[in-house]
Amino acid sequence: MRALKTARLRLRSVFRGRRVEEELDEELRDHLQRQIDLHIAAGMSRPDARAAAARAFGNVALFREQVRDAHRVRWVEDLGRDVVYALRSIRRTPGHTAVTVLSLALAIGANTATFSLVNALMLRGLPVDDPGRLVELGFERPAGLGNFSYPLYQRVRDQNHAFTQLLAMSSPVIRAVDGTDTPPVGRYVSGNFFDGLRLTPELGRLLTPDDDRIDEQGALVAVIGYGLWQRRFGRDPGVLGRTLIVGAGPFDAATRGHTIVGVLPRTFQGLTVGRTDDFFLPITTNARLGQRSLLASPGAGWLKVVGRLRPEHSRDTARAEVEVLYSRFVDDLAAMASETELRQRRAQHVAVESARAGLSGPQREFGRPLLLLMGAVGLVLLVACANVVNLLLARGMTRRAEMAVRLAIGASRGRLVRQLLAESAIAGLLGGGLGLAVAMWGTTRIARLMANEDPAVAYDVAPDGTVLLFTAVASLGAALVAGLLPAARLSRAKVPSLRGDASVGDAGGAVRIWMRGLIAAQVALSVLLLAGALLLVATLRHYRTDDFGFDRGGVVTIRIEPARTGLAGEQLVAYYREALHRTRSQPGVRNATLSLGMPVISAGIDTSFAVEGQPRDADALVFVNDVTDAYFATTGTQLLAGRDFGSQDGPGSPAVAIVNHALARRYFGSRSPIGQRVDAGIRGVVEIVGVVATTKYESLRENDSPIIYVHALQRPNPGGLNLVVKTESDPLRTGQSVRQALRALAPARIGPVSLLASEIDRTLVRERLIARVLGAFAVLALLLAAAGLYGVLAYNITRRTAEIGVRLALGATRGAVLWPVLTESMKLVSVGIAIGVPAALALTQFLDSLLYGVSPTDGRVMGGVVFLLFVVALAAAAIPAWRASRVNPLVALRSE
Amino acid sequence: MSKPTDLVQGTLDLLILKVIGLEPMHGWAIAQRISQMSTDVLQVGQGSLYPALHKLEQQGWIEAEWRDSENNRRAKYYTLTREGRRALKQEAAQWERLSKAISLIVNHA
Repeated sequence: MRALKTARLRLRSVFRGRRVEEELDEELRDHLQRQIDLHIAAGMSRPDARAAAARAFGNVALFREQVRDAHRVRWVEDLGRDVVYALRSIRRTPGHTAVTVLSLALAIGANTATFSLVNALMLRGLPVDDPGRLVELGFERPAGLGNFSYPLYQRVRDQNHAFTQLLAMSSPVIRAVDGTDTPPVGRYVSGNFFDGLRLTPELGRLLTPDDDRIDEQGALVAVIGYGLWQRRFGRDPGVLGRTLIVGAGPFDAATRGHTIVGVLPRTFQGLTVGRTDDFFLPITTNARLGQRSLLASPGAGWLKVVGRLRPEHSRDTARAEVEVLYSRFVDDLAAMASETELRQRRAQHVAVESARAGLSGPQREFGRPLLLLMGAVGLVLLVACANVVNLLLARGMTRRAEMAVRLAIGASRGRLVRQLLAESAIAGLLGGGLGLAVAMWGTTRIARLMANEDPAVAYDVAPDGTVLLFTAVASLGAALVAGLLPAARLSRAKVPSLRGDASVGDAGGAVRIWMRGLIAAQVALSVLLLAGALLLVATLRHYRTDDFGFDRGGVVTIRIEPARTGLAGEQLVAYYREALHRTRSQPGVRNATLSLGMPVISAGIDTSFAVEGQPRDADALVFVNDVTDAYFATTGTQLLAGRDFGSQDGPGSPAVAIVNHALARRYFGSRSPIGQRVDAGIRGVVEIVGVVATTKYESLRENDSPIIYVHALQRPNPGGLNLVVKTESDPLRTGQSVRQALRALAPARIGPVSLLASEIDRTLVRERLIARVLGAFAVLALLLAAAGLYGVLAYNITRRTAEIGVRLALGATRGAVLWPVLTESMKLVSVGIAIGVPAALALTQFLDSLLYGVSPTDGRVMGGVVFLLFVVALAAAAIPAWRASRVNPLVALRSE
Repeated sequence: MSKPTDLVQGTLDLLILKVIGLEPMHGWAIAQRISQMSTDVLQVGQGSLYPALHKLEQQGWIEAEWRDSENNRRAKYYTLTREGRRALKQEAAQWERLSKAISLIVNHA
């Protein structure tokens, strides 16, 4: 109560200051009047009485000040005055302020842009109740969590004690038909999905466990997202009961109408950051679009599984429990599965990851790169801060007289520091505001790099409260930290400074050491960023130009899926042969082949392997690919020995295979593998007829993986093959005409034409992201450092104009004046480099896992960085040096 | 005592609270009453009175209110709050103890 009352009084004196002052005046006047009255009553004349009372009363202004002190809100008034004064001082030096604000804006913008993505991917919780208890279950794989099958999901759902709810969602998306280029995408979800996330419908109802009972004939239902409801149905409440036609995906043989039963809340867009799911269908209806049902298959991994942890469980205890359930699940399969299959299943382990911010995929892909960039962009902010410090120090030197006067007439040092910090804070806020605009631009740029040309990916990077708070703290913090040193130094201005410039030179010595130290630090930080960026750029260059054993240029791929034609056996082989024949006869086609996997972009099937007549190595695993004749000619892979597949190889002839050199060396040593028979596990026993050069296969990073190529048409894959076409020129046009020719052949699904080189390039998304963004940061840091160097040199020239004038007047040559400026610049850069290069050599080790074809300590990269810095330093020094040499001795001396 | 107006630090607050505790009054009257009651020994200068009054008001021990006074002029009247009354009791007890202790020492034979 009392606190409330005094708070009210304080507020009153802050906001109704004038009123309070008036009341005080009235009170004092009343007092004075009464005193006068008393004197008159005692017999004095009115003037005497007035004089006596006034004399006794004393200094009214002082009372007022003391009373005001009693209100103890002076600091608020002072703050207001500081801000007003700071604004005035900022307006007096617009150029100085512009450079400060711009430096901060660029650095804060870069920081906010990076942070926005860290926030969107890793910090912002899913818009569901208590997202912190959500975890994702899957198999530990290098590229992310492997999917569960439906029987495994059911087993874990029904037997676990770690989760209150266990939800499943199909990993592949389904498509709706709406006649546009971007059809709505949806997923199959378990009936408890929405209940487990504790979502409530915007309209109608959400799916329930009852929907898991919809069988082969039951009515089909769908729940749609708010976005789709808005986009396609104009938020019409009558959407319930209308039909959504689903089934345009690559594996769908039919389309079916689904009755819309509900609309999701606006906030929920799905579980994957960056991707919006437009509709959800009951998981048990997954066979209704014409494919085989996946519900009964224990081996088909197609489900993302999300659990809500019980309070007493952690990710570790949950993982242990699910691991046990999984090993029992595999034991139960022992009767049905082959030895190899069981071994592969036993080799995989369950992982449990936090799903607070969504499924772990995007975090796994971009988490580390983003944190790395966050660290790098922090260095950019340091470089910008150094600029601000230098600018404030330089300007401070010209304000020493002002400070000395203010100290002399009684201002306290604390008061001066506060006022100088107010100036910094305002510059910081301006920089932060402008930085937000820079960030908007930068964030969309980075988000687009991360989307990797996938139209379905759109990260929500609109700044939220967290981002705004980050920006505010970063910009104010940076400005205040940068302002502290100059303010502390400046407030120490001695009264003798009033005498004039003479003393400035002496007192300025320490300041100039600070300035040069900061320039060296900026250079060192720039070395770090430039070295990192150049290493990544070199990596990308190597990826694009290195010889991977195959030739990407001019190669297009088109996926052919003849499942719908119902062809099998000999007929299917005939179809594939005819497709190849027609393709090869198209104009502009140099060569064509069929292949199950494509190097780097869709490779990675492995199989057990054994040479007949040699002891079996149970752990031997090699990559296997199914290809037709001319695969090696088309992809430009060299045939080292034996023969290619030919028209004589077919379903009826002996099974043949070609191995790469790495496999031949590993399993046959110096012997020739030609004519040897090997057991290629899932592809059966085959005879080796040729050896080809070793190529990169699963990824561009691997080294010498053993590969066995079997003939694709000896056991044709009904699921589909990739048609690989080497074109003469204009690959995409040629690819389109091939596609038209194939469409006329049979009602098979013919996929879009894609360029092998671009597809491979897409796999380099992380490297490209870091190279581009780190590169931008490095350039920014370099520009800031150059501006800082320029500023300090220019300041020195201005300060020494008189001295230079004297020297010129005494006969110094222009060169003798120009030279010291350049050497000063080179000296500062050399010190920076001497610190920066060892630091860079130590820190680039962290980039090692991202680098390819270049070592973190690559001499050429470091040499390039050093060279670049010297060039930039010379450029930054050129103008001040030139100005020094143009000093007019007469003018300079007169100004003294 | 060389200067009768010098008040022991902090005792002005006690005097003001005591005087206002009798009846609400304005600043001038408070000063007058203090000098009357102390038979002109204690003189409270305006320079200490008004800051003290405003500080007590900020502390919530006294409240102020503009009223018409006896000679038809508006004046700011100060009243003790409930909290001020409690504070007065404590301050008075404190003073009692202190002055007794000082007397014991000063009058010691």
